Amino acid sequence: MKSILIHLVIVFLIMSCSQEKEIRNVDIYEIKNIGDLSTTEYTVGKIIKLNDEANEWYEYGERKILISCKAKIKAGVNLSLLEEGDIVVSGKKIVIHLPTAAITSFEMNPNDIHTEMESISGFRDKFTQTEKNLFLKQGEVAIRKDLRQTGIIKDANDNAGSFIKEFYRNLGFEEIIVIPKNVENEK
Amino acid sequence: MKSELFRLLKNIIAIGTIIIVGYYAYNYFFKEASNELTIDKSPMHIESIKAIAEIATISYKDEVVMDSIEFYRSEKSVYDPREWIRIYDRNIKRRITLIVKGEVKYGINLNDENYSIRSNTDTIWLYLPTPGILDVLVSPSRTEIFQESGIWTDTERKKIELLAKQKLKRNAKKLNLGKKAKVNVIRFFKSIIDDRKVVIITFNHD
Repeated sequence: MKSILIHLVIVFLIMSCSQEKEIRNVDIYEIKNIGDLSTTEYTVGKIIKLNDEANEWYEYGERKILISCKAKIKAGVNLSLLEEGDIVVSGKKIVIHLPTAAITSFEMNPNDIHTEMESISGFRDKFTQTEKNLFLKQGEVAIRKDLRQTGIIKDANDNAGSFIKEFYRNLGFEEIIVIPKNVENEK
Repeated sequence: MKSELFRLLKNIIAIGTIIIVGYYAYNYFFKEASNELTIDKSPMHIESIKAIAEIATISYKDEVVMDSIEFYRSEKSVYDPREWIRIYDRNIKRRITLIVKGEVKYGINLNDENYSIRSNTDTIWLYLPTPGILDVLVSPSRTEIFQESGIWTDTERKKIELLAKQKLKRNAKKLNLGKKAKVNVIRFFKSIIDDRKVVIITFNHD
């Protein structure tokens, strides 16, 4: 009975010092008027690799993981950046100074993320969801970086030009000139 | 002989206790070190390229909290020292809390079948599809795992993330953004069309 009482006192002492993480009460949102014309959609895939070998004397065993993921990226032009004077009409001729393309949206759907292989040996812990999210964040950064090497922006510029030309042709214009306008509109 | 055996047992228990305490101390003090793990370099491959014509006129950014808790089913016994940790943990078996920041985009997705233009010398008729949700964008960089205790599988986490997406969509719908998107689509086309002509825009063109 005495030992139970001592244990109880210890447990209550620990509890009294405990600090529970408080969940933030979130009520913030943002509504923005935009004018993005997305003209190209790329779907890319990546295998995220991690080999966590024992680095310290007290660690025994290793952990390995392979996660496959996909990202859907859209690129296009922000037409809300068009200013007065960017569209010049003279009779059946129209000249448009079109803002250069940029990434308009980036999505990594949870349905397209799969752990393909997970190997734990020795006394190592399993990978937690927090750790997996950290690897996915790094994967996302790598995808965004690699995107610059693809032709997504060029394709988006070309497709935007074609769409605009087709659109104005349908409106009855005979000569349509699209001139790229350099603006910073990367998202 | 008996006393030696007793001493051996005592030593084993003492060493065992030191190992267990050491293990928990390591977990307590060094577990955060795993945040320093970095992924290996691997190539990215392009799976598909598509030409599209989507006009997004409203962007709605929001943050949702998804909290999932599982409690022990049985009642805890204060007389069983093995269950005292449950008192400390408020009878929580496992818990995961995600903060998901996302973006909902409204607009129209044009293709050859759902839009057309007719014009004469003074009027332009534009037939467009009804504006709706184009994308609900979430990604790992905008997802924070605020707390995690117990073991959670990928499937469970995925389910929570998909629920977060649904919640973002519901929040957007509550604000009646479809109507606002429609007004913006009209404004958008009027701004890029020759203002000397009358522009008539009709939605729900299939």
